[in-house]
Amino acid sequence: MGTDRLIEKLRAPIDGASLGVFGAGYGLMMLVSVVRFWAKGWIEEIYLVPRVFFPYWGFEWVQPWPGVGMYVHFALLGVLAALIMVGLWSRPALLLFFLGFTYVELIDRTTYLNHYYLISILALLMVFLPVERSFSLSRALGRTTGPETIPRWSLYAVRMQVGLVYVTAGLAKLRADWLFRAEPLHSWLTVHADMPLVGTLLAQRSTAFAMSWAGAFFDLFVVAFLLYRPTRPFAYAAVVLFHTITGILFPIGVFPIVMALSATIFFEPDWPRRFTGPPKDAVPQVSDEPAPLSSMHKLGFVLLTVHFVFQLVFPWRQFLYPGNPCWTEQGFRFAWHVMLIEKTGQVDFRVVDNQDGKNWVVYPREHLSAFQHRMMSTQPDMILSFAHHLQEEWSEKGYPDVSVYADAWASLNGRRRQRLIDPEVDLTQEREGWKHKDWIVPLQDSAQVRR
Amino acid sequence: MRTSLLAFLVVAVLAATQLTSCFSEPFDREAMLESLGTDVIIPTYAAFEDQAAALSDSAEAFCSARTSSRLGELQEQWKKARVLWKQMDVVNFGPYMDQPWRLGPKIDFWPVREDTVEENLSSDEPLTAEQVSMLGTSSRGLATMEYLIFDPEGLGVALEKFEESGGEQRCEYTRSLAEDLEANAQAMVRAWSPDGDDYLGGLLNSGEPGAPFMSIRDASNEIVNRMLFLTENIMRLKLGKPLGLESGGEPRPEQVESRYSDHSIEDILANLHGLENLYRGRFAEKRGIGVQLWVRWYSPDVDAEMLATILRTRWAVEEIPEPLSQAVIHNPDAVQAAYDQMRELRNMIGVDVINALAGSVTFNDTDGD
Repeated sequence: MGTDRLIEKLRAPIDGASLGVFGAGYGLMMLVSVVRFWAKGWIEEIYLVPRVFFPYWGFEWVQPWPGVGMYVHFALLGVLAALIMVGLWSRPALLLFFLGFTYVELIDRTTYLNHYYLISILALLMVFLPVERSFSLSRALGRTTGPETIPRWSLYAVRMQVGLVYVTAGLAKLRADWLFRAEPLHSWLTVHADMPLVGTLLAQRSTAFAMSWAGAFFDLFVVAFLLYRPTRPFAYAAVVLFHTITGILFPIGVFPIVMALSATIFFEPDWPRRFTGPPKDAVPQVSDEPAPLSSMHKLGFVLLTVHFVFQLVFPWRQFLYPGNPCWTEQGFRFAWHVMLIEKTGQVDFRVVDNQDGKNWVVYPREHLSAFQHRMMSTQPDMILSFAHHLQEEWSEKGYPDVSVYADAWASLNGRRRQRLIDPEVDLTQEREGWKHKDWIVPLQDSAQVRR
Repeated sequence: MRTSLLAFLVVAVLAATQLTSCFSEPFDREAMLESLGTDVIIPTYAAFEDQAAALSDSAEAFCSARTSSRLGELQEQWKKARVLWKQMDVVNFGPYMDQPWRLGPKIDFWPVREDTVEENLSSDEPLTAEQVSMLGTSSRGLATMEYLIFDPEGLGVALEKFEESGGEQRCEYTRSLAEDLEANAQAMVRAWSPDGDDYLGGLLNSGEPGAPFMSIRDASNEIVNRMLFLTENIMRLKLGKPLGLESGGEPRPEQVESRYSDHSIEDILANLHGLENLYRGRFAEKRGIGVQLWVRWYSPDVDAEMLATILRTRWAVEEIPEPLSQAVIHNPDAVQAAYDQMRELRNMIGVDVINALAGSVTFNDTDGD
């Protein structure tokens, strides 16, 4: 099949019902998330109380709004999510939601989560998709007219994005800790040892092994099984079961529901019609005659191709760095490395004035929120950022020439504690960025803490 | 059809029961909490209550005849009460910190506000026990009493302050403080006891409405977290700060805890003793289920290293020449060695013990990904 033919196939109209439901569901989940974030007091706890933030490298200019600004920001996100949910002014709402949500995520690395990253990507992707074509208020109000069809590529784009998350997460699980030590699942499941009926079973390492291997298999193949009609009902049942179990065992918010909803995108494009009946206008069949391709369409396909090439390649940048990425966390974020690490750490800093030799020990607990402290203690790039923060703070105190050293210890996936950062390295001399951080002490493959 | 489905379910449940019975039972955290309450925490507080009562008697005896020997006895009694109280610094939650009790600061607020205490002394108002119970935490409790009855220059100088003008008011204040302490010690025992406010019962009902924790797991984690915070507090506030680690290397002897009585090192040792009691599940002759059995259930190696680390830490603290306020100036290496060892203990609890227990890996909604 030639490229033109492929493009024509991708442009062929299909029922927009599935995408419409996906968009509405996305909006609903985001609305629930915003309300939940607000209700739990996280706006204040995460963005107003801390005095220090950990913005991403290159995004240091992103700061929380002052005053009640963050509350207004979240309120607007809620309004935008509601618009996406009901399908009114969806494109601008999605664009603004993408910008607003991504802004919130860029404020502080502490809060990084893979599913937040997915939320941002899906919002951006849907800006370019006709999500209002079916099941939208826009259609009900007559703002959207014409057949309830969408070009095939728009459904495939969402499928590819969600599929990539599952498959990449599955590939990322093919590592020794997950497969041959059953970690971190064993650590996490042991927590539930006193659960009625199943607690004893959950505490067994054999259970963790079974769940680890099943989890990797699930991530790797569930998309294929969802796409294949004969296996679809079983695969979707597995999706619901898998995410229900993870939702019960690990309080990971609305993530299980988001993923269960996302999996419906692999169903037939018209699956919602089973419940609502056929659309008013019949879905046209694929035309044999290729329609002219506008330059905007071509640009769109190029951009989409660039996006997916990036999505395919970027998660594997970890191979450019030596060492275990779960320990160094180099190339770990934005790579769908889901549930791969359990780390515990303790870190103190020593500031030395290079002019008169005075030195101070700094306990980060005094400067950070409990959440920031916990996350920073095990993540080398955040430790570096905090060291730079101390350099600035001491400069403001009248000590412009200081060195900062970290005394950092951590454990990964049930191993005994070991040094995380070279204590002899002056972190003020190290720059943030993509370069390999050779001041991270390599992981020694020591014995498990737990039997 | 229905019969076969029922038969299948019965067989499945039986099979699952058989399967799970093959495995060893999980560690019983509820039993540990109960034992820690009944075998360690309540008995220690009860012993403190006895010593607080004796302290009150000593204060009364001293004020009835202000002699050097009676002041010496009062000081010794203060130390006995102090040691027991400092053993409970590790249980810095529940009635210690929470309302309506919040007894910890009432019994021991550090550092004492000298100017407030002097203001009280020069006041014309009689300092009755009732009035003392209404004072702010910075001018009551063990630390204030220490300020009144000790002097770094020695017993003679301390006694002089009771003999000069205003000595009567000083004595009244001391006596009232002791009464207040006794009342608060009684309140602490009552707060924990099943026949009192039964905080322990609430702890064991964690997860139920009105209970202090969301689950037994959270309550158990709190115990380990308190052990962690205690070691960090000793390291940071009781050793590091006086050593000058937060002031550019300039020693700050005035930052030492219990500096009027030169009891700082005993305070730290009592803190460690309390931590060890909680870990081992023991107090005096009592032996119960401590955190140690929980750790050992998962990792005998971590338990062995934890015990060794506690021991090494105690040795390092004992190596500091007394008083600590002088050691930070004249023997900083010994203090630094104790600090380093305390940090080792902090890291041991904060990384390996928490890691071994897994139960202390406290998830929140933004974890796990």
